[in-house]
Amino acid sequence: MSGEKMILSHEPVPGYRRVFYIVCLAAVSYLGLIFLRSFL
Amino acid sequence: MTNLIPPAAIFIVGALFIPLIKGKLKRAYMLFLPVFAFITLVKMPEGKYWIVNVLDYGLVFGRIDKLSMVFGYIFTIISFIGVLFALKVKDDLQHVSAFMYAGGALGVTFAGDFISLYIFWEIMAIFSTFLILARKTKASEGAAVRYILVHLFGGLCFLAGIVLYIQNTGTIQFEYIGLNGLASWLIFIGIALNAAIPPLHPWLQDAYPEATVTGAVFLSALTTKSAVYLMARTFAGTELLIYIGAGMTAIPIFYAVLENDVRRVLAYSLINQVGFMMCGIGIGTQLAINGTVSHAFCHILYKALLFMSVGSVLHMTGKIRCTDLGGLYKTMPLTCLFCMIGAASISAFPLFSGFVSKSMIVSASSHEKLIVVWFILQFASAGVFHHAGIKVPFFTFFGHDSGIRTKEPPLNMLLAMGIAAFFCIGIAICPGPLYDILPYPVHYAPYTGAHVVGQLQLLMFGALAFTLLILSGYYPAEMRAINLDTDLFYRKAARLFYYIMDKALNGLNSFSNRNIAEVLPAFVGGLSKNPVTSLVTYFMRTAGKDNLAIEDFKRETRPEGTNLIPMGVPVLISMAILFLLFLVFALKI
Repeated sequence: MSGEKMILSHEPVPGYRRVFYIVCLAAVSYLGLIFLRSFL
Repeated sequence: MTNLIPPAAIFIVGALFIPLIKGKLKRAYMLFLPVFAFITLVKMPEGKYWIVNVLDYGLVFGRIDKLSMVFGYIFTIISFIGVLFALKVKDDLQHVSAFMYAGGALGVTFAGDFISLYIFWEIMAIFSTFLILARKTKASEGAAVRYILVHLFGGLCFLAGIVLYIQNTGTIQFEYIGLNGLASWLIFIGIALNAAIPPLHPWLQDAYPEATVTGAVFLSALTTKSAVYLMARTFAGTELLIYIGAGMTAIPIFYAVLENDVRRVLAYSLINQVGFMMCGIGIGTQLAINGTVSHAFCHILYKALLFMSVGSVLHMTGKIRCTDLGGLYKTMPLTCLFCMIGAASISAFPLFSGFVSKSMIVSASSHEKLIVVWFILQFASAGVFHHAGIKVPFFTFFGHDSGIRTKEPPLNMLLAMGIAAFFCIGIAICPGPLYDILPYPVHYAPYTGAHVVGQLQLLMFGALAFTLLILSGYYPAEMRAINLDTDLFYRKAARLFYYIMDKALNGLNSFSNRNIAEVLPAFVGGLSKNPVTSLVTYFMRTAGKDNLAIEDFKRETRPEGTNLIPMGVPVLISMAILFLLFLVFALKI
């Protein structure tokens, strides 16, 4: 096991969590609109 | 009848001579075998050939039609690529096993009857196991044992189904079967196991990553695809397969994202891709079957390319986990390029082979108004791009710098990857020749504006999701761990079964040993020497007499042997009487 890493974590880059939430919100809103439009 | 030699025989008989040849001649001979088989295939007209009568059955070793020909072509092509990749391996066991295994796959493809099919089916199971064992690690030994046990179980189901089928129909020939009784269900389970249909799939991600670097190339190409071929021939249009296939495309994505071992990620993506094929077989229309067959053709090439590129990394660095790799593009640029081509092909990027094949299956689901299935397939397309398209090259060649400085693999390995990459791009740019050999006429244009833009949207948003997950720190950490899958049940059940059998059978064994092998002979021995004394002492014990009284009785009793007739005398008398009876009654004296 020597020389082999047990874990490789991905540290957040400052500011990108906010971008992630915004994109998620936009994507969910877009898909929601398409879904709702199918009933109209 | 034809003068040509069956392709399966070229591989299987040819394999036997490999250990006898040395040096460059051996390499030339190994490369010649698949070329010879391919030329034989090209010359074969459609029909039934190599029919051998055994007992009352006619075994058909060559059912040549459009469906079997496509798989025959790709199995010989990938064998050539696989052999080229493994050309400098010095272990004859691997070479012989690979050829026997590929020969078995060709035998399955061209078998026109169940008996020869079953023989080749088991040849595949046995010799593919050697490709796992040949890595000679403790993990590979365990994986190989589990692999062969699972496949023998599948083979038994298959055999039971075949026997019932022959009993019901009176023929060993087969074509479309369909799910309509116990025999067909058993055959279905046997094939489904080889196709890694959940929950019968864990053998695949258990065994393939433990195989040798070169063996994994053959494994990724042959077992599941020969099962796809058989499914397409015998169960096309079975609705159940649509939903099984849709599930197969989606479930492995989650495991692949969590997985740390790069070859295991590829194993999960293999299940995902076979899911698309199962879905196509289930839909069963001409477009869907064409899509399935063409996707199997393309998948064998790009999956082999991916296994070769990460196998080269394993070969050169000795490491295969995301936690240990990264930054290798600096020292392995060509391998990185080939991996990227394989990744783009599996992700169905325009101008890469997956684009012209997978889309036929997705379109077929849309044509049949299977909206939920279509949505799952789209989700799975994004998912496979995420793990096989981005994760594999990113964590292997880019990502964090692992500090490993190595060099490109040997020339033969690069050349094998180059040929596979050439096919991946060539098929996409010019899909006509592939479409021409498909089972049904193709009326499908992959490069329409809507398809290209739609697919690019899917892939770009998939890339955006991956990037944002990494940058925001939400992407699951890569860690050395075992991901629990449905094999948990049979691994636990197997332990329980072993425990029960250990306690029950070993308990019965020791009980039998004690009572039948020790106590009973001692008692019978005593009884035969002194029958009266033994019986009297037994009754005395039963009646509650103490040991002192019993010992007194034994001392006072004289040995009984002096008054007994030797055992041989009554036996001799009995034999004489029997012989007289024989003379009287049998010979009527």
